Amino acid sequence: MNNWISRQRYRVAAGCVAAVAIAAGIGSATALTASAAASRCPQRIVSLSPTATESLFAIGAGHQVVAVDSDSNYPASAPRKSNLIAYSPSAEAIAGNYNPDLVVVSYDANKVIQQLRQIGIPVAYQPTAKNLAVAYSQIEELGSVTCHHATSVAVVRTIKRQITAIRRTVGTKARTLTYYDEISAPPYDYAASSRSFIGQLFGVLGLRNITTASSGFPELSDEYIVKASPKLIFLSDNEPNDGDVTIASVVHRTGWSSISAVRSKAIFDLNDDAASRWGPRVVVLMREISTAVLGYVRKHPHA
Amino acid sequence: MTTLPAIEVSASEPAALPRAHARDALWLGLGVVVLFASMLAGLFVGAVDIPPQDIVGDLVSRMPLVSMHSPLSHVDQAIVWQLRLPRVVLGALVGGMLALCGAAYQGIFRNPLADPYLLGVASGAGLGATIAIVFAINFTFLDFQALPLLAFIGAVLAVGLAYVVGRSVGAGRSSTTLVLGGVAVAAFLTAMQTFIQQRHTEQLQLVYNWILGSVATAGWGQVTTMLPYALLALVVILLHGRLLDVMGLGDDAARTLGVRTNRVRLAVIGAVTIGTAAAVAVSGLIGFVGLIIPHVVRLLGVRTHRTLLPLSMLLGASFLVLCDLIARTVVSPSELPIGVVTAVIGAPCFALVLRTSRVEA
Repeated sequence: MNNWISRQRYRVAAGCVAAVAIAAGIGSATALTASAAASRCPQRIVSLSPTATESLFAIGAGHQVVAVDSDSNYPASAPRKSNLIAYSPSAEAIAGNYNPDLVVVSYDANKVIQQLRQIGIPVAYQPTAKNLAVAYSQIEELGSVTCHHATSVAVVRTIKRQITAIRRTVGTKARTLTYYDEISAPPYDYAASSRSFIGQLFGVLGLRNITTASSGFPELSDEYIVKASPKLIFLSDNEPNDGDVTIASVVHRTGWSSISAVRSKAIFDLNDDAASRWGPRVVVLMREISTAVLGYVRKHPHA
Repeated sequence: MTTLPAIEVSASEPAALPRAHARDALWLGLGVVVLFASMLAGLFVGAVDIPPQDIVGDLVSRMPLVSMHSPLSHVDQAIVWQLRLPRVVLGALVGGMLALCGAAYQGIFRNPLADPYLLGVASGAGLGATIAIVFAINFTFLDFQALPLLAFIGAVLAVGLAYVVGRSVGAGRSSTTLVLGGVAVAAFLTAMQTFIQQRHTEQLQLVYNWILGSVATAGWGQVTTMLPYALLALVVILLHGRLLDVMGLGDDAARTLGVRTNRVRLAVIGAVTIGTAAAVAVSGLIGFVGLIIPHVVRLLGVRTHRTLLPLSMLLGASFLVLCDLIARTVVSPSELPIGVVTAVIGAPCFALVLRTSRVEA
């Protein structure tokens, strides 16, 4: 009896080892691509940054891009790979599957930057921009490394001109307007502070942030938001896969009926993607903000 | 606190001892074979398909006096020798260390639920790593050396604190108070870490990435960083194997037999802390390995710590190498956090092993 049991035990243990080994064997892999001819300008770019993808296509380097990460949904013509997740990249798979001569990343997960550089693949690291100046310099850096420097400079100049134009249409009208920009839905009301990248875009148009946080995205309590009673509320969490907050749902939040923006129905959807990136589409975002501000001022001329 | 029944058995069956020794030696030999096979598998299989025979061919072409062109392209060579190999070695080192430390703690605390994080290593390292990530971002460049350093210091300080707290209430008589001290310290440090995290939400993903664990390496740096601490812990723990057997009889019995229990406990806790802190510093918080592997080894019929400790290390190393193999291939070209794999693969296997062992009890 004892013998039988221990044999049974060994069998189970052996079975487990086999199971682990079999599971380990289920690794998907694709054939290697031939080495690209060496060239001074990268011809096989992989972008793990949705912002960089937008910039690359804006400066005319789109045809040099061979793969972009699963979140790079703009422009639609970008070669998006649904299984290329920027938050959990594999340097081995990127190198082996795409044989890139440049990889752009905004987020260093799994030591991907060091790993790629170690095996001789150039990496452009472009983390979240702290302000517009950094965003501009990142676009120009992409221009330099992809042989589209002149175009990138022109793109930056255009962005600056458009922002100036938008600022002129708003003028001083937003000076007295307070706002709350909701990054994530309750129960975690994360707001963009005035020092965050998007907060600075609001600031360019003269709007005043209700948070007093010195940086980043503070978590606000409902009480604080109700007390601050912002005149405008912007929703950066309205996409179905990103909070799915609607204007109607905000109006019906408990206790929010006394907020100025709720009473005057001054709640606005922002393009979630444009609101979380720091590429050429900052202009799209600023247009959305300015349209909201001008509409509000028209309806409430004495506000 | 529960006494492990497995530890007592050897004393009651003196006639079976020589056979048990021979069988233990067999298991150790088998453990070495399994580890070697796992590491080969780790080297041969990856996110990119590179034929094993070509890898062997490349190895042959590197030998002196062999004039042969490597069948591997430059990219593939870099992938195999610069990405895969250091990673496999680090996986083995971390897995072996966690399982060894888990086995030592289960022995010293005579508690089957003990794992290497028992006295607050995880929370201390977590706090250190969180501070490092937030601090590095504030200075706008990622200083990767700061992270393992702060994680290591945090882990060691946390255990030190738990030891002081535990000793002060238990007058050094009981290991239970040490464990409770660890619980208190862990709760406090985890709360501090959560607080810092909430104040810096932009870095949340980076912190979570670290917590979930990964043996992804950037060259041999992590391996050489960890190696001296791992060796130190290994030597100290193995030297105390026999004393752990005696302490399995209970503190009072062990003291009657002349074992200075507090001194042994302090030495083992110190070694485990150094070893675990080094593992955690380079790989994050990888759960399950340190808890389960020693139990699996006991269920194989291994009774004495002299075999239990090294065999746990060998199997822990193999287990983590294979888990990492899965982590970097199943969702390729992305990767899974290795902690997810260790639990998803390990828990059902362990339940199965437990089920058969219940028949025996």
